[in-house]
Amino acid sequence: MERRRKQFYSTLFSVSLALICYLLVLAISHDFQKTWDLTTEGRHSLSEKTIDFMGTLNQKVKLYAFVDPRGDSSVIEAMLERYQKLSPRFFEYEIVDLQKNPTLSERLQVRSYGQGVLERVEELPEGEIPRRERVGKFDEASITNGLTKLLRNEEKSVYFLVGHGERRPDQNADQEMSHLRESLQNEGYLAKPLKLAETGEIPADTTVLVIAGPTGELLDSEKALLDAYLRDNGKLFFMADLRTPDSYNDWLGRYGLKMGDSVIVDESSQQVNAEPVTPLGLKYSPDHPITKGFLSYTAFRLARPLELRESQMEGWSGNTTALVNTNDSAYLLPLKDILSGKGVEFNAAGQTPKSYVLAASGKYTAAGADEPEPSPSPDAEPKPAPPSARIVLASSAETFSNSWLGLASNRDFVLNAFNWLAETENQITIRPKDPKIKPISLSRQSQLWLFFTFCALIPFLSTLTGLLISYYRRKGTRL
Amino acid sequence: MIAIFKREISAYFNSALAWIMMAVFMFVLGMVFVSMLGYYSEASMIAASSPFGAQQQLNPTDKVIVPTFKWVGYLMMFILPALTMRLIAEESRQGTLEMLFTYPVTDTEIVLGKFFGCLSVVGVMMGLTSGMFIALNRVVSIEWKVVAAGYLGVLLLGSAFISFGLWASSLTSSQLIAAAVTYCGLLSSWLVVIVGKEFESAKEIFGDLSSMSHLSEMAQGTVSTHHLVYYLAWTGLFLFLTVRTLESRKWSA
Repeated sequence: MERRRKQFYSTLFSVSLALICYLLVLAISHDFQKTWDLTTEGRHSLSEKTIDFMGTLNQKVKLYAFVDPRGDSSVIEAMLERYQKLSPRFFEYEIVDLQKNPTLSERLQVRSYGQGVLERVEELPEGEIPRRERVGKFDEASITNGLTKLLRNEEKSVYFLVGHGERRPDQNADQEMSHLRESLQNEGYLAKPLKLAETGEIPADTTVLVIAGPTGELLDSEKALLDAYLRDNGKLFFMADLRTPDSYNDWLGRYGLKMGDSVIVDESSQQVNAEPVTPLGLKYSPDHPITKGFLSYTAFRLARPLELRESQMEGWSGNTTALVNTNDSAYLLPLKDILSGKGVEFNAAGQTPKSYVLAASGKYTAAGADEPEPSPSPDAEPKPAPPSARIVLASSAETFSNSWLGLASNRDFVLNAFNWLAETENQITIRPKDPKIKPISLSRQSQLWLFFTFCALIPFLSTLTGLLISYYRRKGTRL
Repeated sequence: MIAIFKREISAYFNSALAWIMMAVFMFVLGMVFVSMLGYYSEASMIAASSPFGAQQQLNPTDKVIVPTFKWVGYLMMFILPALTMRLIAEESRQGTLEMLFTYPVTDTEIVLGKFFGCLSVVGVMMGLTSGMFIALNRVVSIEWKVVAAGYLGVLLLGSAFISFGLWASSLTSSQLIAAAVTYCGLLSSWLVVIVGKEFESAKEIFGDLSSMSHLSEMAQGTVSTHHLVYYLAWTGLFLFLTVRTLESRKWSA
């Protein structure tokens, strides 16, 4: 009896110990886990840009994620947990059920599921509302960009030059750029039209100046204003149009950039059921902040090939980069054929398919800016930074018009370009890491074969084997 | 242990039960696989006929591989109790367990032999499913690393389920009760996530305890040390409990 009692207590003790160990091991492994993302594109991990940004976070932020409890929130929670691990001191999140938290929903003015609100966690005087930023989607791009906007203090002005046949940000027609204006607004930029002939100056608060597909000539006085603006830390986004006069080439040439007098025709555009005059941007500059990490294509519509040359700016050093190129499958069609309405029929005879530049950038610094400065005396006032200019030249303004902006990665590209021009590289748009698109075509017959193999043949053979074994075993027993 | 293992393998494959279970498993999974593939093919055709349809997320991992592995998990929850119920309960009912105790094998060896015997049946089932991924790869290139993660996940899930079934089988001499206990336990381990939704503060803990949530993540290609530890610790715990249960039979008799 005594032995049984001892055995009982020994078993009870060992089982209790095993249970405690089990729970401890689970808790430790939960807190100190290492994860491997085995997907080809690393879809279940955060991008380097987000990791870098979270490393610089120095302000407490909380994300309220209004997730429908009827759906599966595990993917969202897993992603938010990854954010929190990158900056546990400054980032926290809460999954909120609208129905269960009406007060919070009212305070944050959220009326439907699928939305998030980022809020600065800070002590404010009574009555003051902390700064908030709405997140429309629970993906990495939306959250990281929401964070950057929340932590940015001022709104930046982007002026669109008008009066020379340019596309306007304040008009909604297909060829205009109201969608781009909205996208810029979401990024914290205020887009406004600018009539240089009327104002006579480029506003001092200009972060980026846009010339979107001009079809009329610039006045010499306007060119002079633009040059002066660029030489004073100016940032210019120039989008070419098929009808952009050749005189612009003389002006852009000074900055080492040129638009060709032909139209790019790309056979690879048929892969996405687009017309050949929509060349696809498939090769990206791997190191440039605008295109670093780009995996998906951009679709440039009615694009002129760009050429990169030596910068001719006196007293300045310039560096131009081809940002986006077509594949080696593009040809050229004379611009005059398109403009004369001859159509887009083209004859590749006599042409070798090659890659053409669809977008380029230029970075220019006043001479002497790179020279090392003598160590300043403690009393000396800090020297102002030397002037520098940035230009992005896109081969087609049509690409960023209301009709085409939402296609492929066009929006990501243009927003990245604006962020680079505005020197806010940490606000570069993070393209969602979509898995590679792999469509299949399965004939009815192939489907039937698969059905026959996996739903009929294998189960039948397995059942038959089981029945035969059973039969022979019984037979054997009887014998 | 090898002798027990061989004996179990022979017992499984010399009875109709394992073969019929494999047939049911393959039939249901085959239906799921073929319908997923059909849906995927249809979605591809729709995407191809619309301009820039290629922007739609069409890839075999999300459309076919992940759902297939999730279904393997669900099916195992219903098939494995039928395979594990007899492991010890039958020996107990027939009185062969006491005889087994007299053999020069330890309790741990008995438990491990039976565990690996049952795991082999799961291995054979998984082997049969590999034909599906090979067929899929002939149509479109697939992410083999994700497939490997999925297989690792279902094998670990299978180990955990078998260890629980083995323990349930050691508690009783009735196969029916053993199967019922196993079904209840495994279903609870899956549905614990629903309980978590009712208790906001403990949601994370309940979600983490769910057996299927770990498989789901592994099938998507995310392998974490926590997933591995979760399944291995579960398996280890119930194998240990089974050994203790067997031991208790000796001193309580």
